[in-house]
Amino acid sequence: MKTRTNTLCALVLGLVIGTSTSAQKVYVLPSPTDANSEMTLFIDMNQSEDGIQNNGLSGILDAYPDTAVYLWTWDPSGPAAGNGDWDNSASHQELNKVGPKLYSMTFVPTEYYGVDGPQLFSRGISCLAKLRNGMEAEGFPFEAKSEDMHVDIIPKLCDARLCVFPELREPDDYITITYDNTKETLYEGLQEMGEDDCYIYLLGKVDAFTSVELSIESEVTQNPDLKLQSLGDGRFRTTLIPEDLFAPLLAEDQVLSEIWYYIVREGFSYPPGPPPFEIISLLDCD
Amino acid sequence: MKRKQHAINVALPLVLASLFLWGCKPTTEGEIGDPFDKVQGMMGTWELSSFTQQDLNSPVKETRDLSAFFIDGVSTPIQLTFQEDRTYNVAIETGKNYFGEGGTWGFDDDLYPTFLELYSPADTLSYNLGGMVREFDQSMRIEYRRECGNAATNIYTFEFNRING
Repeated sequence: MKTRTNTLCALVLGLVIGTSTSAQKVYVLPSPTDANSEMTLFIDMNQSEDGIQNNGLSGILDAYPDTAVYLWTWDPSGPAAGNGDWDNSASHQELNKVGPKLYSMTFVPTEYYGVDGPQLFSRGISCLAKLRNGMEAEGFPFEAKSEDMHVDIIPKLCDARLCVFPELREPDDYITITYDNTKETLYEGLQEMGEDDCYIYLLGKVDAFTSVELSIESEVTQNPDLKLQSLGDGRFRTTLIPEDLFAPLLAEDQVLSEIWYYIVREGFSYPPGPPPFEIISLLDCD
Repeated sequence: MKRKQHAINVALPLVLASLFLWGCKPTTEGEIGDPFDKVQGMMGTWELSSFTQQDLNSPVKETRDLSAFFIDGVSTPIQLTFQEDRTYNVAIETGKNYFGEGGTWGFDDDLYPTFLELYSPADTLSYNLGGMVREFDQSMRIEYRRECGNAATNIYTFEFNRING
């Protein structure tokens, strides 16, 4: 119900912005955006211009305003569930009509695209709108699609239980992990930590099959490198350079692609099953 | 005809006012002098006073102070010494070394420098200068701007104080 209300609010806000202040062909709300929360992508076909890239959707929508319109997207990647075919878009790609020639789709970007936050923020979203069949429509001179559109996605400042700084990072960058213990609702045994209680388990992933750990979980609290510094008010922080920290454990040709981590407290054990890993992806810029 | 006369009535006072103001402009006397010698400005020893990391993808371009990794109050912070013969030395007791083992140095352009270039046997490093450094300036800023593909990611800023020169 809450999700539906949020979506409705986003749609209303989108309508207001779309009809009054914004002249963008494509935009997202909310912006700044949390990569792991719902966002709504709007395509304003009122701003589209036919004939730029053999595109004629705007003219078709003027003649047939109630025709179903579909999203076709390729950045930050194709949708995890696919776009469908050019002459037969997948049904899940149908956009909602939220105003005259204004369309939207609501999704969690990391789930919809199957990418992580850094990939989303570094690439933005590239897309176009089209009819189910994007080929030239009878009686119209161009293809039944809009021109290519792009929107940069601005990351939201983190206020979550775990935050990572900076948004985009390489293995040799300084990376800061901040843990807000006051937002710990999942595990009672981790709540109300003392200043010296907070540690982190770190696993460096080279690829899907190769990983190295700095300390096994039962020895984490004996490793001072894995202790988070108390900032007061229940917040803890550590800063590290993954490449340097894991260097003694890596072969010369091995490069870290991800850091997997979770919070550790002496005397506390997670329930049986895989530990609740958080993942920091590292850019490969070579 | 009436319109033409109106245009003249508007334009003429503006032209006369411009000429009047131009006439008031003082003539420049004396010589401007030579531009500051940026190579001379770099000479001497510089000690690190702060180190920050800026996230270029944060909505507010958030900056974190990471000076504690280089300045611990016990060890001498990293020092760079630039000599007139275009050699440079690095003295580092704590923190990651971003400046190589020492070697030769230069600018991309001695008159209008943008980059400081450091050549050592193992590496060639090129960093943005945070501003022009003149002989009487007591601080210097060096920026290490990181990019990945077309995406700018972080700026590491090193602030130095001149300790002799």
